Amino acid sequence: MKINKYILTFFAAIVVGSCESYTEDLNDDPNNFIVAASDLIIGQSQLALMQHMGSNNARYAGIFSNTMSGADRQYLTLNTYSPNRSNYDDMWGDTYLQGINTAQLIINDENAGDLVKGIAKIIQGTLYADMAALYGDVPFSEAVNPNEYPNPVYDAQADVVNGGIALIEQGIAQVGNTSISAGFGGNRLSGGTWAEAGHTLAARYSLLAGNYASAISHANQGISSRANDLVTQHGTSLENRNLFYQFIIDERQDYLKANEAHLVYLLDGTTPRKLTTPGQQAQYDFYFIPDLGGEVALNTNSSGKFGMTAPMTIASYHETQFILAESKFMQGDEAGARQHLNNVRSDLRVQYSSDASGFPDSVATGTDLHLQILEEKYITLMGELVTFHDLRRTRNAIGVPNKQGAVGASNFPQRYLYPQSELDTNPNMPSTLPDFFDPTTLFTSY
Amino acid sequence: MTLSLVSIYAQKTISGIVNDSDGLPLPGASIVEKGTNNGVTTDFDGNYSIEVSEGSTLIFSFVGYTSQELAVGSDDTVNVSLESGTELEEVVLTALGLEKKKDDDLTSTTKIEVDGVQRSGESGILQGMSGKTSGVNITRNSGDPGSGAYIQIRGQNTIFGDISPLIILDGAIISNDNIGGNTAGVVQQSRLNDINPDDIESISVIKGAAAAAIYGTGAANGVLVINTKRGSESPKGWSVNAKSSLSVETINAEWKKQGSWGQGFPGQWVGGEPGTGVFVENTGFSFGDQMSLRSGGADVYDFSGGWFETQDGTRIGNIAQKNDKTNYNQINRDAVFGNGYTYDNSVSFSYNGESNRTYISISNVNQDGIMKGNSDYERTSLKLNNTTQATDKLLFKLSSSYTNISSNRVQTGSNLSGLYLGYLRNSPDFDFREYKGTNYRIVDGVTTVTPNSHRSYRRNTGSYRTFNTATGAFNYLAPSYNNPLWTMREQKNLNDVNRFIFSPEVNYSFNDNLNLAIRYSVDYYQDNRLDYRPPGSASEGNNGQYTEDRYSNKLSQLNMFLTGGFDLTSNVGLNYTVGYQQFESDYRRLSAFEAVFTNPDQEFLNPGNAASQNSLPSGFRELRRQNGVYGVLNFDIGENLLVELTGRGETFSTMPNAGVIFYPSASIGYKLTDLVNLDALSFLKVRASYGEVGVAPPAYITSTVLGPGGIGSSWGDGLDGSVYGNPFTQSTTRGNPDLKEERKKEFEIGFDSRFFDNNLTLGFTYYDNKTEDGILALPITPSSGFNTTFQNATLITNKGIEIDISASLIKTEDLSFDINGSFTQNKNIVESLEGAAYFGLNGFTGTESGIAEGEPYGIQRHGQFLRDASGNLLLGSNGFPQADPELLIAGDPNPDFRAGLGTSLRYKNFNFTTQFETSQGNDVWNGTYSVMLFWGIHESTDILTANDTGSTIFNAWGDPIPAGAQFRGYIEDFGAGPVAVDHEWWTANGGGFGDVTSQFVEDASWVKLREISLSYDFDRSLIERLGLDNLSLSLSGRNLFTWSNIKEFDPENNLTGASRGRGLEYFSNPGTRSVLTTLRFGF
Repeated sequence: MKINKYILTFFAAIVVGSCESYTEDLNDDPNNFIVAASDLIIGQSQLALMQHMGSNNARYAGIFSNTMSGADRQYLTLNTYSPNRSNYDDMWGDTYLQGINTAQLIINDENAGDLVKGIAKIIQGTLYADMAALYGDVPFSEAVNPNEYPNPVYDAQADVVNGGIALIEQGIAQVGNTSISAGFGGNRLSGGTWAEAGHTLAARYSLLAGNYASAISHANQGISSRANDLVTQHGTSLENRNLFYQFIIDERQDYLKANEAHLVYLLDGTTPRKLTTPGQQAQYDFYFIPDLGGEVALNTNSSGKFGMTAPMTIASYHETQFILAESKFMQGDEAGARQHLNNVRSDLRVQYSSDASGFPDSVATGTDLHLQILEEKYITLMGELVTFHDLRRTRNAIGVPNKQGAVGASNFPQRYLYPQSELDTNPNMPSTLPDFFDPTTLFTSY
Repeated sequence: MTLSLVSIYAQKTISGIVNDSDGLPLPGASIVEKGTNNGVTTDFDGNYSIEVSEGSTLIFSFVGYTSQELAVGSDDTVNVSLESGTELEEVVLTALGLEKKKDDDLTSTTKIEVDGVQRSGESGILQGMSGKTSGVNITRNSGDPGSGAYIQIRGQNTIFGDISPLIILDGAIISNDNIGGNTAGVVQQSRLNDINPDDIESISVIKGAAAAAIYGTGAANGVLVINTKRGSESPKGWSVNAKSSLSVETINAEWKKQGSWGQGFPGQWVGGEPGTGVFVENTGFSFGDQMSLRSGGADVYDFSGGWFETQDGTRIGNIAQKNDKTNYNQINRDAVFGNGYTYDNSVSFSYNGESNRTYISISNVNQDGIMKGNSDYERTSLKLNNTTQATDKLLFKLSSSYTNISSNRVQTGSNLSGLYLGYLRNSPDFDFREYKGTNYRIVDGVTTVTPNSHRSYRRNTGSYRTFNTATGAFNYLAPSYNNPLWTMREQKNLNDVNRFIFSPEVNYSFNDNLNLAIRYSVDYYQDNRLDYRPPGSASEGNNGQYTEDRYSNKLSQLNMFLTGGFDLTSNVGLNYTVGYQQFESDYRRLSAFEAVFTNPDQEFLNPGNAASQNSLPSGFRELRRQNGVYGVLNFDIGENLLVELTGRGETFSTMPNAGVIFYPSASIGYKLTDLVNLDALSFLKVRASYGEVGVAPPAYITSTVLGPGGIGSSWGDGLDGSVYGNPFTQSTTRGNPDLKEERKKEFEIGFDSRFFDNNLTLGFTYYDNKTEDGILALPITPSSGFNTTFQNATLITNKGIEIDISASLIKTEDLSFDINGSFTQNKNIVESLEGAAYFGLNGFTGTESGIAEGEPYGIQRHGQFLRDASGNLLLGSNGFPQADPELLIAGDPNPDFRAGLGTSLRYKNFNFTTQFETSQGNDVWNGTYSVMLFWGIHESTDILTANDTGSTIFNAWGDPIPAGAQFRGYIEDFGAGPVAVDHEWWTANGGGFGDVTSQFVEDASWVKLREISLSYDFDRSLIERLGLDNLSLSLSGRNLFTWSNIKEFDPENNLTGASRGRGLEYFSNPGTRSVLTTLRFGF
């Protein structure tokens, strides 16, 4: 039949033309890569560490610690301590996905060298311990292992902090004496060696866990001078500037200030400082600048703490000395404690005071000494997350008032809220979700 | 058979009149010499004249009437009376673009009256189709020139697939891309609007899966089949038609701002009394002093720190004493908004030759928006269609077009550079007309000068820069929000589009019953977008920012099919189509981004004005291919039973492991007209169909990828990997190599009927579909190392009814009155989400439109007030409600139903038409209002209340309001006694930046008078004296009235444009109403 012949010819053409090769092998993504060496991705975990310590976490911590104030839009609501889980989605996600998970890729990489693995462990351990300090119980033992644990369980806060310390210790053992700049720090991080930075971090989390002996032991091997502080590096490009600067000047003007902040009152003399400091105006001027309408802004000038290229501190000599001071005090060594406090005071004297009497040494004993150590740390480490950890850990021993003036151990947020993103997806979350004002288990007593 | 070109027969001229059975002339009836392309149409009075061969046969036909054939005899005059047909000859287009009698169609395909689209005066065809048929939801994005629109047929069914229906234009697959559409940026165009509506011959909307099934993967959103004019309707030779219209647009809804309280802080913030305020320069708040209490006169300036010098040399300094009591709201408003004008001119040339027909058109739309700045859209299109009968077996068809668009756009939405954001928040006592000048700044006695300084209410003396004397780097201090005039005039958002559509087709007729068609088509466009923010702009543009994006997309298709028919038995006829189709989509983007200009003082609209570390090129490419074989079998069984079977098998490049995918469908219809013995019934057909179509996964999601790193917070601060040594990072989305297609399975039943001699037409369809294995970037636990994973995870169902009705109520020679209506109800449910609680589609963190199990697509999730188990508010110790830390479902942006109603009244030469449209039950989150409360700028914050409770009450911060004292706010009792709602509540959880957004979800139902139009066809005598064929003039109004609870913005507006995220309002650019006059003539 004639028609059938045409149809057959036509279908023959189709079969020839329609070989599946037309659609095969086209789905390899030309826009992305599927392999990258550990040496290439270690930088991302460092950026995540910088972000964790210096971005929204630090701003929230500044407001909750009353060293800063939310002054506009969403930050005004935050200033009233209104809880909102979805605010924490990004902060939680960035740290787990970009920080902890990226480090895990390196730790899992059989081809990765000791150095890069060691750095990854220090970063991962730090982030784990810090997440536990912020949120309480968090995923650790089953985290970032998607093949085996799509829904990680939440481990006890103390276990995570101690697990983090153990990771840092393993990392220290692998990095030798490599300096941060030679150890993939690049233009991201600078300081002394990875090992001493790791020891200061391990000391910090040991103190948070209440383990003073371990804190002293690590701090003794920790950062030995301000020049060796582990700090972030910044430039003048749009997105390598100081993160506070970016937020305050480039992105969200008026959101973050220091109006009526406790720290402002401590440094302008409205509230007496536990360790009298005649030269503190220079310290005030480093932190704060006046703003229109009588407001107090954070100092984003080029010489200010939050200037465009000002480094942000992740771990410091000062913190190391404060850890030693507090731990020795808690172990009854007041002289040792005072010495470490005065090590910081003499440093501050150099930094802020042309007049030798501007930052006098402490001669206090007992509770006075104890509170001087804590308050001096609160003032000196302004802008760092550890300030918020300490306030909760010490049950607000130094009496920082909350935003509406009330003073009390639980009058300000006691933890960051588990994010909406985990609540939406993870059936292994704690069945009873803690309240914003419920202390975390490690920080219930001091 | 011989070509008429070489006809050897003698010619003669036949003329006469074609009437209907009542003796009324039928203008536009067609007279064709049988077996040739020789044809003419009757004029306005039914007259015709045709030159034919002796011995030939003439076919007289007219839509809605039974055709007649008459052999040419000796008479030169042939008058014909056509009987009104029992079968209307209305045709719809099949998915292949072939005509099919509506009465034989077995699915719910409807035709859109093209006249109505063209009459609408909308320059965009999408907007012009709105409300014209059931089952289709079209929502314009905004009133911006060239704005795109959202189109959705029968509800949403996919999350990652296209939203838009498949568009078939003259057999070509063409793009309706709508790239962009986010909470910030500019209002984007829809690529379908590149088509000149005047070129369109017919539009059919294929809603059902069964009818769309030949396209398989890609047809799940239905198909819009559009054929353009081919020059066939006009008499032999050339004819010309022209149109010229002018439209005047005005803003159709405006926000109400308070004009009593100036810029500044509430008195209580600075130790003052309730009910007072203090003027504070540069703050965003309008909680300052009462302007009427000021002294009047000029403000006193302090020039000691510097000043802003306007372009005429006036100095504006820091305000030492605010004296001016003027409310500038209206003055400022008039500086921003005025009339918009659209000029739409087109001309078309049609040629009908012996063996070829040609259509050529040129059109130009030039739209100048309602904003007095860089807001315009100009579209020029050229079209060339040709049909050539080369031999009696071989036919060539060509459809081609070129469109050029250039447009200036204005930033909108949640965007510190957005027009409305800076405009609506502006305090009433700030005159923003002086927006650009020179800043003089004095520090330590040294004056520095910044040219092109940007002044807004957030920086009264304008932006300025400082230099780092060591490095030479400069840094601009800019206002927090742009002055709206800066946004409109100094920032540039240029856009130009060039688009070619070229689709040739060859048809070969083996014989009367077998035809082969081979079609190739290519649709290519390049869309260049440029975003320039001069130094001194708000936010990230403070040191200058330049972005250029070049998008291109090429859709190419090869489609070959055989159509034929034969009788299987004496009682069963079969028509068949078998075909093969290849389709490729090749999408690319190349972008340049620069910030921190090296030279900040001159407008430079190119890359190359930034140091390398501030310059970031990027690109993206996506190539997808599809390859399939399809067949359609149509059986006519007996007189009345129709059966259609369709199948398609194919492979798709984005599913490398899915193998060959097969989509079956079947339809059945029965014409009951003869069985139902009802005089009033002219026609009745019942139909049922089942069909399957699919949606392909996006390209490249089969593997987990790594890419350049970097990290940023949702507040905008971040660490850019490219300036930090380019570290790599793993995608947070896990790839899945085993993805298969999303499969939509649909069952529909319905009927098509006509009554009273075809004067009443009623069509009804019920459909029930489910889309299985919907692909989702399924949210997973972030602490697992990924936060999403691609999976075939969703099950989405849509059920609905569609009713189309039209009636011819009066039909006489001088007077006719017709109405038509459509009704659509769709119930959409996301049945399964594989356990994930919510997936956000678009919007803000904590306030978004997304999907959740058991809820309709697009459902919103918001922060809510904390309540106890029985739903009562749990109040804080201050007596105010508190935020629940968790987000909860609230706000359904989907309408309960949509309906359209059109009327058409003709009296002699006058035509009066109206079109109403409504959407009922759709919610919107009114973010703009909530934020205007926050700033104390909304009219409702202009309220002074005395505390008449007899005792001290407190506001949300705990500030006391003594008995008898006045305060700016009102008394409310949330359940723990009276409290003062004032600035402390509005700036926390009672306003737009608080954690409780659900309180601002509102019912956004609307009814619109979409269109009202009066047109006049000039008298024959006049037209002929002018040497014309036709001449008409019309006056129309578009969107003149809206009835809605929403008063302050167009309830159709959507912040996120034509994206999946629906029902969000946040400082989106306003909608418009328009009045237009159109002159049409032809010769």
